[in-house]
Amino acid sequence: MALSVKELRIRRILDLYGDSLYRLACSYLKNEADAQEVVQDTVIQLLRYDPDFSGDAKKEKGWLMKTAANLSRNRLRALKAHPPEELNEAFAAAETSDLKFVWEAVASLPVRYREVIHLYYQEGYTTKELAELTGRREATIRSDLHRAREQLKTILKESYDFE
Amino acid sequence: MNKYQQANEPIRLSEEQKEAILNQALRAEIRPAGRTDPGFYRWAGVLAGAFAVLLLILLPGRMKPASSDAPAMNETMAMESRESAPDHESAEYDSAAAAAEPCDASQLAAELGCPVPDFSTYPNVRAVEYTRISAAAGTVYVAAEQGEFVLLIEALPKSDEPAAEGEEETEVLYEDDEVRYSLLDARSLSEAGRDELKGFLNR
Repeated sequence: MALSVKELRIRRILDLYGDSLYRLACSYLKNEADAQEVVQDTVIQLLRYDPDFSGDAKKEKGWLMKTAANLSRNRLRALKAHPPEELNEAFAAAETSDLKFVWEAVASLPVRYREVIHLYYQEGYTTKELAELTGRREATIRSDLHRAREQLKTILKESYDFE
Repeated sequence: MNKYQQANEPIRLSEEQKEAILNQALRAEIRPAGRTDPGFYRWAGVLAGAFAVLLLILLPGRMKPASSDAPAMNETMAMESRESAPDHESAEYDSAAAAAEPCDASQLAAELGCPVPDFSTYPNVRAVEYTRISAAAGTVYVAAEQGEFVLLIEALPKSDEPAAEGEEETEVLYEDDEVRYSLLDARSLSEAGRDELKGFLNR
């Protein structure tokens, strides 16, 4: 049976950006099921709003990442009353990594900081691009990154005896 | 690849997850932003009608024409139809949006039990959208000449509860015993827009 245009479009989005969107959502929510739903909702939003990227893949990824970030923040607020399970119980994928402690240390940062750390170190966005993506000023992003690194140093030193 | 990227490497969408997302996205009825599905009204009408028939069958003795019972029953029917809406919508459009319910300023204020600024009077406003995200919090999205922003409105508990984790993420613009307004997302809000917003909230 031939695939529909809509199905092809969703498959392309998931193949190209699925992992990035999922990791971003995981960095906010620390929960696989919620992260999967955020990716799903991001795809639905794309189909719903059908923005024109004029073939610009960077623009397309930026839009998707921003939408996934907004949906994750919304979900985080909604979950505030019922916090997700602890990382160790809920996040099976990270368990297999030898560098689990790095993920855990970043995950223990306040949302504002782990957001910039994830987008900067995982996705390789510049501070200028991060400013556009988050709606903060570039100077604020730089200061957030600086504070996040300082907090990470303290966490790694205190919790993991990492110099 | 840096250490953080290496730590993230195992976190990938499996083929099963991709299929599940694909199926859900294909099933979701995609409708233009900001419009309520006409099917929702149809179903709400059907449910309200069914409820009315049920009432006629179960409570024949209580039905009095043009009596004081009538408005109360209408209210019950309206409530029933309202209650049925989220179930129907979430089944059709199961998303994070279900947690954030659109409403207007007065409705949000009533539900949160705290003052909510009426942004329809905001200078040069182009678009306003109120949503309730939990029993004690809501947001307002405002697009105005000086930029776009999302304001978080939190009804504060009277007791001295410790600050919740993650509160650092927002910039508090106004706070009193009852309510806190924070900037959740400044988007394209200019410095002048920020000053205008602070003035508006503090007037």
